[in-house]
Amino acid sequence: MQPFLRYCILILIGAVAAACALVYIANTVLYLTPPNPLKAMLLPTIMRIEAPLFAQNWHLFAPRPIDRNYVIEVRCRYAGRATVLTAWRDITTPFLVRHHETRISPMGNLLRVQQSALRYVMNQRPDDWAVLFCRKAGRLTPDCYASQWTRKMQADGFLILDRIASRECDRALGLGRTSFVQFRVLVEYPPVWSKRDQPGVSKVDVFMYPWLPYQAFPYMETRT
Amino acid sequence: MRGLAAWLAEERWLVGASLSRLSFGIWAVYFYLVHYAVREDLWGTRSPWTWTDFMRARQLLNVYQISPDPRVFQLVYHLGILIALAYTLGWHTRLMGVLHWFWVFSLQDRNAFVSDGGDNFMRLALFFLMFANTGAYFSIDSLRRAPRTGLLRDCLGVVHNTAVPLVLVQYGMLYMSTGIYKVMGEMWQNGTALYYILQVQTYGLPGHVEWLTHNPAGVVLATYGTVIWELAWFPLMIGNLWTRLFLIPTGIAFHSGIALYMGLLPFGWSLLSAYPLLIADPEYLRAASWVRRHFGITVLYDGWCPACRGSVTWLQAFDLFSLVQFRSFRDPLLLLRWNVPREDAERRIQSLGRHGRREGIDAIIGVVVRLPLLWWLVIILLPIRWVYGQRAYDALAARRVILVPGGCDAHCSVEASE
Repeated sequence: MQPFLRYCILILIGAVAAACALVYIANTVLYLTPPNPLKAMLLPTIMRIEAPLFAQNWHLFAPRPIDRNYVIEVRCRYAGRATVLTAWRDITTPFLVRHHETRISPMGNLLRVQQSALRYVMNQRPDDWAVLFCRKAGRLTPDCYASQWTRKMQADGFLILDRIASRECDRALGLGRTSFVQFRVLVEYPPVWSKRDQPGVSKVDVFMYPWLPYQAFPYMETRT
Repeated sequence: MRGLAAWLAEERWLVGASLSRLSFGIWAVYFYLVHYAVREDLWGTRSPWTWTDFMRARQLLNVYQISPDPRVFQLVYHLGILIALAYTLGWHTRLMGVLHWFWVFSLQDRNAFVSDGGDNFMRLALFFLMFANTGAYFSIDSLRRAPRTGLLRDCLGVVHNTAVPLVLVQYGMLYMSTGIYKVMGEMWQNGTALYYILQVQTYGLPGHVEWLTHNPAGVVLATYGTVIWELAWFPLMIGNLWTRLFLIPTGIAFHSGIALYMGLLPFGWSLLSAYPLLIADPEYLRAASWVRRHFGITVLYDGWCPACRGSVTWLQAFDLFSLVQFRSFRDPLLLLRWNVPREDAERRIQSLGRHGRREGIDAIIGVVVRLPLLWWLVIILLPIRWVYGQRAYDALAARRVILVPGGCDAHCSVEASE
């Protein structure tokens, strides 16, 4: 191959690669910035380039870090000759204890599944994208956030927690014997910084959720 | 034009890219194995995010979409382990790089409820590293293949030189983004964010973090330090060697602290995995020559012994850092140069370095210690050394077969020659 042609090919590839890199960087910078007018203007293009392949979120405990503990408790209802109601069963603490015992165990991720699902269920704050989409649509109202994002996320969160609760009930009552499950969330607010040395200042709220139908796992359906 | 083309095609950051491959690969093997016992609960048939849910939410091609059959899941998961191993060892690195990204991405996408920021960074970094030459060092490929030449090599070099900076820029965007969001947060502004985070039991480690959370100076400094460090990361990265060198120990301390005290080991490991890219090849080579000067050894072995030659070839394959130089003591000048008596060299293998001269099993342990992939052998060799001393080695060495060039009819033993 002629050296000149070879040089041209290399420079062309370099130019194309650099152009792709610059487009990616510029787009990602806009994608990652807090909601702003430029981002709002270019939103469809930004999303087309970035999601789903390059989707990313670097909030990482910001702007408001998680500052409370969530403990999920489950109870089960079994309709046989008489309706049986189990006591509340804590499904968070056992994982937490094992996670604290050894940091290199898979318990952290098992715990993350239920905690992520719970965040989906309880999250009342709209994310940046919801705010931006609603602002563009001229409907900057909580109803807009909910209709756009939160409801779908909440539905997925409920589904996961329903299944986790159903599984716990299978352990308590036996496979497939439960008809309904219910979970409640104990939210513990650690003492604020100024009262950190005062004992007993933590506050606990309890959130009850409605009874949900028992969810059999696919593998259980095939076995039973 | 010629100069520009040559500059574009000359691959840079090869050592850093190879180290990143090693780290990402080991991370993946660790991740697969740590979650082995609960793989069904997280991604398989017992996962609360079922295959049907996953298929409903899935947006990209995914290897786990092939079938809901549990046997397919097992096959794909185990293939993932093998691919991660092959990628770590640098076997067909380019192909394994693509497969490894696809498998890691697929696992993360199979159940997004498990993923964290470290997984997010890993899938992006592995994507860019697919286009980079990550097998130039510390890999099986680098041992068995002659480097490519020609237009294809040059084109791949251009792509490599674009992909690697993208990983570093990705870091910059990550830290800048999280830094900006932190500046906007009230708890980060008033310096108490770390206290609240460590009160959350999922992240804090009760009994171990109180020394920090009850120390106002510690909490405020760590909170502000985090924000300042994250915002300064990108400007320091594009600074000079010293600013980049500053980022490495501080980054290790920062992410190790997160891994240790917040229980986010995979997150910290993932974020640190591409840090080797902060150092350029010439800087690595300078550091390597310093290490070789201080820790390298020369080993004198019997070049007339076929079994010894075979062992040396085998050991050389594991010498990732070129810390051991093997020389046959049958070269008469060598013994003079190193001032080693011929009888000693004939009796036992010799190693020479800054520590002085060691022989027999001690020399072999010295070699194995310098080959990280063979560190497991130390567990076997040390007890032998303690129990039998040099006797076990001597018994083997005395029975070795020696092929003297041009004599002995190809079968001279040590005893026979004596």
